[in-house]
Parts: sequence; structure tokens; C-alpha cells
Amino acid sequence: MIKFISFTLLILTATLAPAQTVTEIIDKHVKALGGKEKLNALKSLKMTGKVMAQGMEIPLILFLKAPNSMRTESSIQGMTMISAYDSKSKTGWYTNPMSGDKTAQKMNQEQTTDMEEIGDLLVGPLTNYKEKGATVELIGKEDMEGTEVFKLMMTKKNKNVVYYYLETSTFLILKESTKTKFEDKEIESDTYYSNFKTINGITLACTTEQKSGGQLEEQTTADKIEFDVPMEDSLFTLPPADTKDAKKDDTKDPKKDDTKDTKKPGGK
Amino acid sequence: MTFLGGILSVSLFAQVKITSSTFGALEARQIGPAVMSGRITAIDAVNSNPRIIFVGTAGGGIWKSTTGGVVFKSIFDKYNQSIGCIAIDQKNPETIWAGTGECNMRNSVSAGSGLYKSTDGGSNWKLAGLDSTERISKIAINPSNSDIMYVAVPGPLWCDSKHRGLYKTADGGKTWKKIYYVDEKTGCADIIIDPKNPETIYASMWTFRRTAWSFSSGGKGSGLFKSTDGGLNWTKIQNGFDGQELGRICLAISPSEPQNLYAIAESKNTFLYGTSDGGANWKKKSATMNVTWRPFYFSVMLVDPADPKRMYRPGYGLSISNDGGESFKEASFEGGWVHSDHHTLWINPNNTNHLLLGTDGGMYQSLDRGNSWTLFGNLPVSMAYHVTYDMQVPYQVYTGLQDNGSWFAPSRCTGGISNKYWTNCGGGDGFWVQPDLSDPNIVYSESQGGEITRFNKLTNESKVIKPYELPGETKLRCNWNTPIVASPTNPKTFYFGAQYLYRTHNKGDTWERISPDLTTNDPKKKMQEQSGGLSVDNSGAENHCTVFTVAESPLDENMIWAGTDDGNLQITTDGGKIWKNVIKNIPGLPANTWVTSIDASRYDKNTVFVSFDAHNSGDMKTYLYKSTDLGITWTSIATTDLKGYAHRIKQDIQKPDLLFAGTESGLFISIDGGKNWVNYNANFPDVAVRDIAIQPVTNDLILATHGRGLIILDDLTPIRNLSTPVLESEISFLPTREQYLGSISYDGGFPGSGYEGPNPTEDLVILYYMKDRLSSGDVKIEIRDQQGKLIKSLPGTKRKGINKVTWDFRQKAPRVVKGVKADFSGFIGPYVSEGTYIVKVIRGDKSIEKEVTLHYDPRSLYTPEERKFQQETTMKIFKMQEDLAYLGDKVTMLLDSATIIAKSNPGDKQLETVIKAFSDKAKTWHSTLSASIEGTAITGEEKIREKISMLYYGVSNFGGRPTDSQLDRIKGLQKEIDDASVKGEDLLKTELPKLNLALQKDKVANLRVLTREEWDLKTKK
Repeated sequence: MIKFISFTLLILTATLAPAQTVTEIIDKHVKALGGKEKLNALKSLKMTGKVMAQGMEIPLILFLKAPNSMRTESSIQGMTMISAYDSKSKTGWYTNPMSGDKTAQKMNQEQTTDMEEIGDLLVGPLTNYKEKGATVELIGKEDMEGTEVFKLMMTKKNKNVVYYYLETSTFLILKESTKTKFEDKEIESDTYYSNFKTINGITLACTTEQKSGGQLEEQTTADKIEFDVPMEDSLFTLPPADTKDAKKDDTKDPKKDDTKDTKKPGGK
Repeated sequence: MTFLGGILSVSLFAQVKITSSTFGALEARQIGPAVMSGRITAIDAVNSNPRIIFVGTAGGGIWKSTTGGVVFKSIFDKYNQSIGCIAIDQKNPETIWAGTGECNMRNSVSAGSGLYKSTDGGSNWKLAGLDSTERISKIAINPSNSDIMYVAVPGPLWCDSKHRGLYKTADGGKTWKKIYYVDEKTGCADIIIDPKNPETIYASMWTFRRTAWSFSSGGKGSGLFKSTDGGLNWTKIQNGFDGQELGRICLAISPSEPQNLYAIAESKNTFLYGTSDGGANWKKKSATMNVTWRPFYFSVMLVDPADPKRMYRPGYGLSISNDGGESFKEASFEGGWVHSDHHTLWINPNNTNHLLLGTDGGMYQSLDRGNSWTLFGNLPVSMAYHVTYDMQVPYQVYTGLQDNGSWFAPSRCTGGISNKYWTNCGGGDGFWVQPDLSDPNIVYSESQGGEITRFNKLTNESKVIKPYELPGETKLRCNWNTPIVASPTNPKTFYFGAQYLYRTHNKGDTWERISPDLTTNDPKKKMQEQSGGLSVDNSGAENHCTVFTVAESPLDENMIWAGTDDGNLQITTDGGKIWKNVIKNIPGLPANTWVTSIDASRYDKNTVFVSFDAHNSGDMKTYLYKSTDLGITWTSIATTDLKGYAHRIKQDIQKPDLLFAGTESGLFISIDGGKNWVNYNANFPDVAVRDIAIQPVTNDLILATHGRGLIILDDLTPIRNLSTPVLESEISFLPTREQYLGSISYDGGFPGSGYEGPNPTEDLVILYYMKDRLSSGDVKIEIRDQQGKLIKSLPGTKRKGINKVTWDFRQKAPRVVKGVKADFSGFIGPYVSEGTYIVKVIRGDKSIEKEVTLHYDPRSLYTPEERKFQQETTMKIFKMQEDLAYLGDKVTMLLDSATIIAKSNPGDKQLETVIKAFSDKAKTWHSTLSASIEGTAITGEEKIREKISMLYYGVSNFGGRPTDSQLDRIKGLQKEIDDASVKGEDLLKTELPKLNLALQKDKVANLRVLTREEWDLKTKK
């Protein structure tokens, strides 16, 4: 459910051997993301950006900590909404103060399906798929919005299926289609990736989009990305039930506070 | 850098060609109808979870439900939409097989493109072979080994073929072997596996053929066969049949006692037979009309899995036997009508009370073994033949549907075009439906064979207005799909085609014959009374040697074209006195090829476009021609880009080089007069497009599809403007039709029932073309007023081709003062007012911009003064909400700063005390600004913020003058703000100096409140 960011590879080569195997495609993809070693050494990521949806622009901060902890903070009308997953306790939770409720609520099982793989946002979904018990099959080449892509089908250990569309000229993942099964429901969703940048040797999509009817429904853009920022585990853990306000990452810098009078004390 | 005028050009090499993906963002609207759905040809469900249902349709692809039919999704849009059969591998229900090419062999049936397999529950499909078979009737999977499957292939309907027969795979569809083949005229109609002994299989072979004017079922190749070794050796098993030549044989096996089988064997006297020894001996059973009727069209029979004596025979109705076929009753249909003509039935093996029935008019469910039924009104798979429109606002669309009558509905409705908005104006099979543009209450429609009626929308009266032959004239021959055509030059004039052409000027009360027999009048093609083969079937579907299409020149009422189903293309230039057949002038066209449509150009009266269809001689090619000299010489405008036999060619009504072609395989567009064509597939499946219309006011392209009802591509303006400079530019704007600033319409949001066709957007559509996909950076859209003030930022897409972004005409929402809950006014921006705005598309470091002038809808009920006043009032309340936000923030932001300072001076207890005192007072004061009671309860608490919100909603949401109460309320609320402001200032006056005094001790600079400008900057969204 949370796909703010994905890693894919920057242009490596424009020419391709006529028939490439899944392994070759994935190898090139991973190498260009920065390489398996480098990706797996990543400890954390902090992304500061915004979500544009329904005519609104909502500031967003994403914290990712290896292996699979995640926290997002978005703010509307001065209220901070948190959504988090703690891989140690395998607990997902959220707060929704907009409704007047400031307490943290546990996510249900449907919401936490696949959360144990949220670290894919850090290392890329195809980097460690074998270790996670998934299989990947090359479906073939097809046209995606006028661009030639490889279509890969990943079957996860839990049998959920994800399709990845990698640009044939760049090996970047341009689109991801998931079909998540929960109870009897099949929830399908498409996410588009673009605006690729290389930061500290790691290549990632700085824009992710959800579309409906060919039009954008939601766009998330990263303004700033930082790797290996120290993050306390408490950022991700479910706050105790009696805590009214969920923990906040207090990043306010008093030096930059503009309510401060620029004049010296006792001036005039 | 910004390029005014909207085209950012780069140097060019070769001309850019459009492709299907050029139009990818211009998605079509599938508006239904689904109220009567369409022909259902195949149903299967997962035995272990019968909420997962797959429904195959005659022309609308495959639909899947995971909710027992509450919600359906189409899952086969990219492939052939004519479905013969579906089989779920019940051992591994994520594997689904679909055989394309419907096998209910009526005149209008389509052709398939092979067998498809999905291994992920239908999300993705791959061709699994048998791609030349055209029609696949049944897939039988070995219940103990899913790799072994048998596929029955009746094969092509209109020509000989070696691809018919029974096929087998032993490796899950990787390779196929034809294991039973008779001859090029005989295919395999049915296949059954003995579930307890899967090496035993039964197959029926069938000799059949259609021509455009006849059908023949039966022949020497037909018969019933059995193999006990998985298809290596076969025995004919007809012991007990009456020895006559056979036609189509439909089989059923009792799953619980599989030595018991039943066969409906078509012959001159069609009978139901039963065997209790695995086919060694057969006995005649009951032969009620419904059991034996139309065996070519009804080819399904099932035995209840739990009860070997209970049988179901879907036919014209549904016959049920409780005694192994000795006697039959009709299903009762208590509680409502069930559409006739049943083609498929699914019985839940784990609860045999539960049935799903596929008919000519949709899928029904029974939970009581067939006593009562409910229709699934959410399958928009109706099979339209033609489409027309009127000039109302919104315009209405009119269409006739295969076996589902004649209908009309608005092209836009409150909440969407749901089933309730469709009005039925004629029964039987529907084809042409023509509104009378000179009388908005009158609609002409027909049922099969030219039974034309005049329907009055006010009174619901229907008058038969069919012309008859006069004494001495030959009997009128009317096509199954008889043309009723409106004159483009005179709204009171209509044409009606039999073998002659008729014209009326008085609503069909008088018909004037304006031609001789325009057809070949070939006696061999007029023997429909003998058509059908072993079972005569003369429903009108084979009527031939008739006028099929008529076109009057939009430039000359005396110039009339008529095309016939037997391949004559006739023209008169004197209103019908003299006719000339120009068919022989067309090079490369096989003789006697059906003329499917004529489009007389509105730019030049000597120019005409004609489409032809030769599929009924087995030729599936696309035939499209153009003449610019009134039919003397012709040029083919068909290219290899096209696929499927042609039903319709249409020239755009504004741009002569823009052409549309509807074929059995979809919609094709040419922007260069037919030199190149592309398949349009934006939310548009490979469905047969039977007719094309263009509404001249909205510029909508309206398609009649034979399987997905009506589909509308809104606004052709951008496609008309795909010029070479645009196509070769890095990024360019494309124009759209004018979109008015709307008045806000109420949509209660109560759920309707069934399918809901989407409305066109009421937002401003911003279209830009990009030659290439943007791989790095983003596309952003900015809307500014003429003073340059940013009104709205929108994210843009970055695809290759046309990109579409919409703006709902709203500005940014007001900033609201903080409260314990979110306030809804903070999510709703006010509409902009009439005027000129600048739209800028920023692509990476480059941008294009253009001016857009917005107008109120000229049909608006309010004067410009009222509009202006409403707008100003809204903005006044908007400002009040923001003033309140500033007022609150002045204090809270100050305290926030103080708190941060306190944190960095942890030892300063005095500071802490001062802040605490200030905070407590501020909190009390702030609770007068916005709701402050915590929790999720509905507190009903209304403070200034909430009061402003309600007023803002009321005034901003209605396009006319606000009420006096609303205007008075503004004054009242303004006073409340002013009072709160005074109290806030008092608070600051007393508390801020204390705070600053405390801060001085820590050598921290004085705090002060933010100025409005600083606050604006800080809270800018």
C-alpha cells in the first residue's frame, strides 16, 4: 500500500543482446541501481517531499530503516498523520488526527500484507528476490505508454503476484502492477515511476504516480533524499496506548525560527 | 525558457508517425447500456470458491467477478472479444483457458483468434495455440491430470478449413495434436470426458456452413463418437438413433453416474436420446419443442452433478427434467422475466440449487434450482448495430441491439449513465434508431426484417409505418438489419431500404419508392424458406439481395448512394430517377461483396468513402475505398495497419483527412486520409465497431460496438489538430472544445443498481503532446491569472504522445485555523471567475504556455452580475477564514517558538512558568476560534471556524446570488472575528512582554508576532 519511492537503474546501455534472460535483465537492473553490495549496505533513507492529490499538495516525510521498518508523516491543516511499520514487532500502525482521534491505531492484516517487504523501497524489489523465496519470469516485451518495456512477473512466497515493466533501453522500472489477495478480495494497483536521479551512487525514482483512466490521481515527489540518516527504533514502534500524541520527529531548527525578532534584546 | 504559442520545436529528421499509444491518454467512455446486457456464451466458476466467476460473451470479451457477481471487471480487452468457451482448471484455479470465437452459429457471430491461457487468475493472457480455428466450442480438462486437455473446434463458419476437429494436448497446451478430423466442412461441436474414467471421451462432429443468404446444418460428416483410450481409437456410437442424416449434436453426461449420457441429435426430426451404458445403446426421450428447437443456436444440456435424473436444457427457454429426460417442464421464472435464448448454464457442484444462466440478454442467477432469477445488471456487453444522436443538451444517443430492442439515453446524467436512464422504444432485435430532428418527441426504430415503427416519447405510442409492396411489385425483401437513414439536408426526410429504396417526408405515413430493384435479385440467394439445413430456420437473418446502406450527400439532396448486401453500389444524382451501379469500377474488390457503409463527403460532393465486407465468403480482409469522381475511379485506402472486416468508414466533419474505420476488430484512425491507420485502444477493447457517428456540437465520436454497447470518445478537437509541426515538436499544446465554468449540480450519491456509464469530465481539459517520454525531471502545470498570480499547480503526466491533465476550475483552498479536527473548508477551493488565465506546462527546464479564456455556461440561469456577486461573496468568506487562521497562528506560532527555546534552555524554570501561563490563557482564547473538544464523537461543537465553513460551503457551492440570510451571516461572523481579534491582541499585550522579559535572561532575542506577509510566506501552500 505504500509506494512512495522505488529504485531502478539509470541508463547503462542502449543496445541489447537480442534475447536476454530474466537473470541477465535483473543483473543489469541491480547493477545499475548501484549494485547489490551497495544496496544491501544501505541502513536508512529519509525522503522529504510532497503528495499531490485531489488538488491538494501535502508535505510528506518518509523514513525507511533496514531491513523493513517504515514511517511516513504527512501534514494537513497543521496536523501530522503518521503511518508506520515496525519490522521488529511486525506491527503496522497509524494516526489520523484529522478525525479528532490522536491515538495510534494498529493496521489490520490487509493493510500490513507485504509490509514485511517494505525494505524493497530501500534496496529495490528485484535485488534480493531469490533470498525472499520469490520467482521471476520474463513475460516478454510490450509497449507501455509508447515506450518499449520488459514485462517481468514476480510470484512472491505468499503467492501474490507483481508485474514489473522495465524500460528496455535503460532497465529502469517504469511501472509496477500488483495484485494482492486478502481473504477473497483481489486488490489491483498500478504505480508508475519516473524522474530518476542518482544520489550517492544509488539510482532511484524521485516521482511515483497512481493513475486512473490515463490521468494522474496521485503524485508523490521527493524534494530531498538522504541515505543512512540515524533513526531511532522508537520512530517505528507503536506508541503505548495511553500516549495521546504519537511520537514526532521534531526537526524544527530554532535558529531558523522567523518569529524571532531580528532586533537585539532591549534595542531601540 | 518559455515558448509562447504553445509549440516547442526541435530540429527534425523523419516525420513522426502516430501510434496507438499517441492516443493512450484520451480514454473512451463505455456508457453501456447494461440494463439488458448482451449475449452470454460461457460461464465458469471456481468450484472451491464460487464467488470467483468468469463470464464469456459473444462480443464483449471476458468478465471476472471475485464477489459472486456484485462487481465485474473486464479482463480480456486486449484480445479477441468473441468468446466460445471458458474453462477453469479446478485443480489449479488460477489457470484459466479461453477459447475465442463464439459457436452459436447465427448470422452475426464473430470469429475468434485461438485459445488463450492465463496462469494468474485472468489478469494476463497468452495465446496458447489453435490460432487459425476461428471458433472453439468447448475445452475439456482431464480432472485427474490438468496437462491433458481436449478442445472442440467447429472451426470457420463461412469457408472450408483444415483447422477443424478435435484437438488434444498432453503438456498443458504447449503442443497440440489434432486427434479427430473428418473433413474441411466438418468440425467438432462437443466434447465430454467421463469424470470417473478420463481416458473415455465422447465427441460429436458437425458439418455446417453459412453463406450470406443461407445456413446449412448437417451432412455426412456429422456423428457421435467415443474413444476409451484418450482419443487414439474411435467408435461411432449411434445405436438407437433413427438413422437419418445428422446435424449438430449436443451432449450431456451425468457426473455422478457417468455411464448415463444424453444427446440432442439434430436431424430432420431432432430427438433427445439417452444411454445408460456409456453410449452403446441409445433410447429416444422426450422431445419438447424447447429441447429440440434451433439446435445450431442452442447447444448446451447439463445433468445436475448431485442428481443423475435432473437435467437442464437451456434453449429458447430453460427446460428441466426430473426423470432423466422422460419429461420436461419449463423453469418457472417466478418474480420476473428472464430473457429468452439461453446458451450456457453453470451449476454449482457443491450446491446444486445455485445456477448461473447465460442468455441473449445477460447472465441470471438462481438460488432455487431455476424457480426464480435475478439479472446481473452490471455487464455492459450489449451488441449495438447502429448509433445516432440528437441535438439536445446533453445530447441523447440512440441505438438498436441484437435481440434486445431499441433504446435511447442521455450522453451525460447526474451521477453517471446508469441503467435507469435508458429508455426502450422498440422490441425484437434492434438495429437503426433514428430520432426525428424536426420533432423531438419522435423516434423511428425497427425490429428484424424492416419492421419499422414510429415511437412517441410523450405518449409511448408506437405506430407501425412499414411500406408494403404495391400490386404488381415483388414481395419486399428487407435485410435483418434494414437501413433507416436520415437525410443530412432535410430533417424531415428519411430513407428506408428493401430491394427498393423508399423515402418519406411525413414521418413514415407516406413512402415514395425512389428506385427500381437495386440488388442483383439473384434467385439462388432468395431461398430463405429452405435455409437452415436439417432444421429449417428462416428468422429473417439470412434475407438477402437487399439494400443495406444508404447515404444522401450532405451537399446535394438529389445525390443518393445505396449499397446492397449482394455487392451493388448504386448512385443517383437526380433524386432517384436514374440509378447507376458503379461496383465494377472498384479494383481489387471481390464480386458480390457486401457494401457495409457509404460516407458521402461533406467537403466535395463527388467524393465518397465506402466500406465492404467479404467475411461471409471466408475473406476477413479490410476493404475500404475512396472515389473523388462520383464512383468512376476508386482508390483503396486500406493498409496492413488495419485488421478485421470493415463495417463502417467515416470522414470527420471538420477535418477532411481525418478518417475513422470500424471493423470487426476495433476502431482505427487515420489522420492522413487513409495512408496510415492506427488502432485506437484507450479503454477501448478489440470489439467490433459497427457504426460511427460524430455529434457536431460536442465533437464526440460515438461508436456502436457489437459487444460493449456504445462507447464515446469525447471531443475530437485534439485529434483534429495533430498536425506535422505538433507531432514533430518536443512538447505542444493541443486544443480542446470549450469547457464552460459550470454551475454546481447536486448529486446525492445514492447508489444506483447495475452498471453506471461514466460522464464526460466537467473540468478544464489541458492536453499536451510530447514526442518522447520524459525520463528525468517532472512535468508540472501552473495556472495563473493575468496578473501572474499562481492559481493552481497540478502534476502532469510524461508519456510519449498526448497527455491529459484536468483542472476543476478551483483555486487553492483557504488556510484554516487549527482545531482538534480537520475542517472541510480547508479542502475546498473556490471556483475561479470568468476571465482569461495562463496555462503553463513545465517540462524539465523548458515550458510552454497559452491563454485560456473561461466563460460561464451560456445556459446558466444567473446573470453575470449575480455570478460576479456570488464570486465576490465567496472570496469575502474565504478571506474571513484565512484572517481567522492568521489570528490563531499569530499566537500559536509564537508559543511554538517559545517552546523550542525553552527546550534548548532546560534549566530555565521561570521561562517554563511564563510559557505555561501564556499557553493556558492562549488555549482558552483559541477555543473560541475553533472546535476544541477532543475525540472522535460527533460533538456538534461550532466555533467561528466551523460557522465560517458552513457559510463558505453554502455560498461557494451555488452559482447564483447568495441569500440575504447568508449575507447577514457574514456581518455577524465578521463581528465574532473582530471580537476574537481584540481579545487576542489583549492577550499578546499582557503576555508577550512577560515572555520576552524571561527570554532576555537567556540572552535570547525578543519574540514578536508574525506579520501577515511573513505568515503568508510561511504558510504558503
